[in-house]
Amino acid sequence: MARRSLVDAGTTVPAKGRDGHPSPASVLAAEIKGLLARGERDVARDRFGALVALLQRRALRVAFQYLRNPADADEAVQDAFVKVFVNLDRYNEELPFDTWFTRILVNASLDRLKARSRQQRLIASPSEEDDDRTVEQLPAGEASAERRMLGREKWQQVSRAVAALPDRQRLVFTLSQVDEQTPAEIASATGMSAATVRVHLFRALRKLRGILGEHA
Amino acid sequence: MTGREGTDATLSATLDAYRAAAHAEADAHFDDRALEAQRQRILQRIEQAGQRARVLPFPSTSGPVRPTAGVSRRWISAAAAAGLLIGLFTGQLLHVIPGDNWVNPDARRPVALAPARTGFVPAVANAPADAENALLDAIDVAVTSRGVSELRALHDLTFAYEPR
Repeated sequence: MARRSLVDAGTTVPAKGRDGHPSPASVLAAEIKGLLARGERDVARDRFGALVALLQRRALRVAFQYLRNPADADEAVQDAFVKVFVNLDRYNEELPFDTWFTRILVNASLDRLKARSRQQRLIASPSEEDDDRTVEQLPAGEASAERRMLGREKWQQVSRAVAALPDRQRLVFTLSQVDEQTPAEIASATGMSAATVRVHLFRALRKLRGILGEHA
Repeated sequence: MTGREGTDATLSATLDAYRAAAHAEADAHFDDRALEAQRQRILQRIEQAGQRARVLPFPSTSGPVRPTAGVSRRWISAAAAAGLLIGLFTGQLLHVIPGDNWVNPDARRPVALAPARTGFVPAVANAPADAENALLDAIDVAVTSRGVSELRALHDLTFAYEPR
């Protein structure tokens, strides 16, 4: 089925991304929103599959690094995408879709974290056993090369240090370092001010710097 | 290179390596097959969310509604009303028919348990006798009233000494 142009879909032009062009996700989201507005729900759902495929891996990386549990990350990402589709009529195309999605993903992850905290009354942190399991499950090529570069001991130190960060610092650090978002994007996604984001990031990096300095 | 610059360079390199390792770690948990399965689950949940909620009949009414429940409820109401009427009628009947509990109409007059206070101060010699008479009257009235069985024993004791 030929895709309709955005003009035909009757939607506004999606917001421009960092490179001055709307991101593929923003374009796709605007198209799906137009389809839903016209009542073409089945077509919209099919197109939404493409949007999921576009963002899914990135979302799982962020959710997994934040939640440190594959099942929780899976659930959080599912919840986030379902919420996106259900509330797509509220999406403002003048803002980057990626930021809106990150916000929903962060909220879904926080919800999952709260649910887990209620169940376990403790926030999961990577244990020695967890680290060992993770090393075994990593693909032989790329991951082991990265691990060699970082060094197993140092990886464990950094992982523990990140896991021990306060929630907000960990969230900001994860979005900044794992998802490579700018402080402005993180501010939009989390609802914090850009200055607060910078402060959290500075404190997180200071702690990590201290740990690395101690073990240098 | 100062110690601070060295630490910064180390931190920067560490963070780059951390990012790559973190990506690889997450990707190891979610391979392409897991991603496809997750995508299908998401689309499935969206499809379910789009369907109108099915309302289950509760309680289930597979057959015609039997009228027994309504009839029994009516019988209970009728029995309760009849019981109330019978109770009221019996209560009225007990007042009408004289029996052991019949009360002397004189006893129904309100009785001052204490002597009324007036401006008149009685003579000192008559005061104990008046007070005693008033007390005995009050006891008499109370004993003859219904439902004061506790005072009957007192009445039996004091009856012989009643001045009347």
